[in-house]
Amino acid sequence: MRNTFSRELLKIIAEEQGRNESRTWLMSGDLGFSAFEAIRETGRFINAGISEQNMIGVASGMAKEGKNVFVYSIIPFLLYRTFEQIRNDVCYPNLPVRLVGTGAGLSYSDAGATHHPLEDLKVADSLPSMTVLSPSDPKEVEAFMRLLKGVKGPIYLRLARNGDPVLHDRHGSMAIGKALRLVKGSKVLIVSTGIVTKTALEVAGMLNSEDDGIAEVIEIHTFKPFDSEAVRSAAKGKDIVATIEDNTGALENKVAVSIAGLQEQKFISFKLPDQFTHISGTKEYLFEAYGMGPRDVFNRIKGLLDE
Amino acid sequence: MMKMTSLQELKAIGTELRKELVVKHSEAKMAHIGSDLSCLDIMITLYFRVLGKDDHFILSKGHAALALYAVLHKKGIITDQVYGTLGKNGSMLGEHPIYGIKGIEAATGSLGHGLSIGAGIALAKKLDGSKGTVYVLLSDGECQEGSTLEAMNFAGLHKLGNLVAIVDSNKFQAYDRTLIPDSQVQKEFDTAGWTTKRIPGHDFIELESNLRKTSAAPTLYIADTVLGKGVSDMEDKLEWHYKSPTKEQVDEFVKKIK
Ligand SMILES: [Mg+2]
Repeated sequence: MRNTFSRELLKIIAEEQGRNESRTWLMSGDLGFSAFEAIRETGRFINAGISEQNMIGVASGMAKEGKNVFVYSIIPFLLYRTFEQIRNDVCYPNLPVRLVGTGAGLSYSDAGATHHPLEDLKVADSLPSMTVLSPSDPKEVEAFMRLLKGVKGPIYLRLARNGDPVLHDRHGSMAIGKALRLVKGSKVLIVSTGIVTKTALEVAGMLNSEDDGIAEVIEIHTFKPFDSEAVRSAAKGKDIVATIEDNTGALENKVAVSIAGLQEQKFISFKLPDQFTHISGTKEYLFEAYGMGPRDVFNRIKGLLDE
Repeated sequence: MMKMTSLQELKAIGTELRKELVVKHSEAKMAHIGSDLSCLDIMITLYFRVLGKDDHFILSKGHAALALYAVLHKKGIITDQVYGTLGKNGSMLGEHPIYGIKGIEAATGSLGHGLSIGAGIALAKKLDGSKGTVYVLLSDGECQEGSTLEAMNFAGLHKLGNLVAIVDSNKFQAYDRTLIPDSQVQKEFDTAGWTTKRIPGHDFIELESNLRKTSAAPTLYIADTVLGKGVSDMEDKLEWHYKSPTKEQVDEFVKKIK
């Protein structure tokens, strides 16, 4: 996802330079080796150094002067270290600062708990005027890079790492704030966000291979504003609503609120535990360890179906 | 001759706004009058003698918002109608700067934000080659914030000659004499590549002649000020970071303001 972001940003900058404009800048908290070299060459790159609070304040000031600033760091440093700067200096004045964080969920699986933003969706969601984008694959990042110029206020875009597979072919119909139905089905609704949408699709595939057409997948690529209406209407008439996320219940809460009052469904969530990760390994290994591997998810949903 | 008249006018504005602030703080029961009075002359100088249309001002020590409101009102930027609501239910005017009020660049109720925002504005101007100087007024205590020091380093590194920081060095922070002395702050900014200078913070002539100057590097002025300046009962007393004058005190204090 990071390389896609870099490539698309380079296009935006090149187009501007062709028109002799200098609105768009990338500011990084001393990160980007082998990702941002081409952007550096355009002259539109600022290394803000290892001082993230100042980086956000500077981005705020630049945005006040009409600049379109992308601010990049690893998510905990981008979003947690700087929370008050983002709140007071970006969200309160509703400035178009684009916060681009890498390492969503367990993407930095072997880097330790300091690098695991398992609560970033909750944190970003808590800020008034913030738009929160949680793409599931690199082509969604590409689509967002085209769509985000339509957003007047701040954006938080959470990226995984590199090498994430393309999961679907619906990118052309993406709109910020609109949930995306990836699979249509009759009995089981799986709501997903971020790269674990891959798991959601695999599980839906397993369910549908046993009983064709029962599993539906709705992807929440825009976490805020949350498309409650799409979730609620998809949930109507289903037997089971399941959520899957790489956070500690951010999506679970949103979906539960969205379907409140609908009586007929069983509700099950697949989320990361509210604790610090004490084990290291690949992200697939960690998801398995937390009972979020495709086979575990399938078995638990199947168990509910068979009850 | 013109200069003398102007100086007299500045002094008259200082007296008028000091009286007004005593009344306003009392009516609104709002704190921080000591801080207002220590930086008031700096803001009067900026707004009445220094700032041009391309310049920016950020009150980073947002707890002196009432002094800023008073100056903006005197300048006609905040209307009588809005200013008249201060301290009343439903007013837009908070005890710290509220975003969205004409003339307020940033909501700086939390310390350590203003210098970064100012650096961002200054950097954007520098990148575009556009005119204007960005003035940021800091408290002396605020220089303890790591983010202030981050901004100091950033502005020094990027040689933001269009950025001027002024420290309202009233020698107090909220619950103590200022813990880190301004001499240390000055050294830190010096080391970070700023042009630094100590100036008297209640002398309009000195303030104006210095604040008009910029250099190739960002500039820091340590302005020596007095907490509660102009109201003898408040001068250099920590309690006036918190208290607002009682009804009985208002007349007494106002009478003493020269
Ligand atoms: Mg002080």
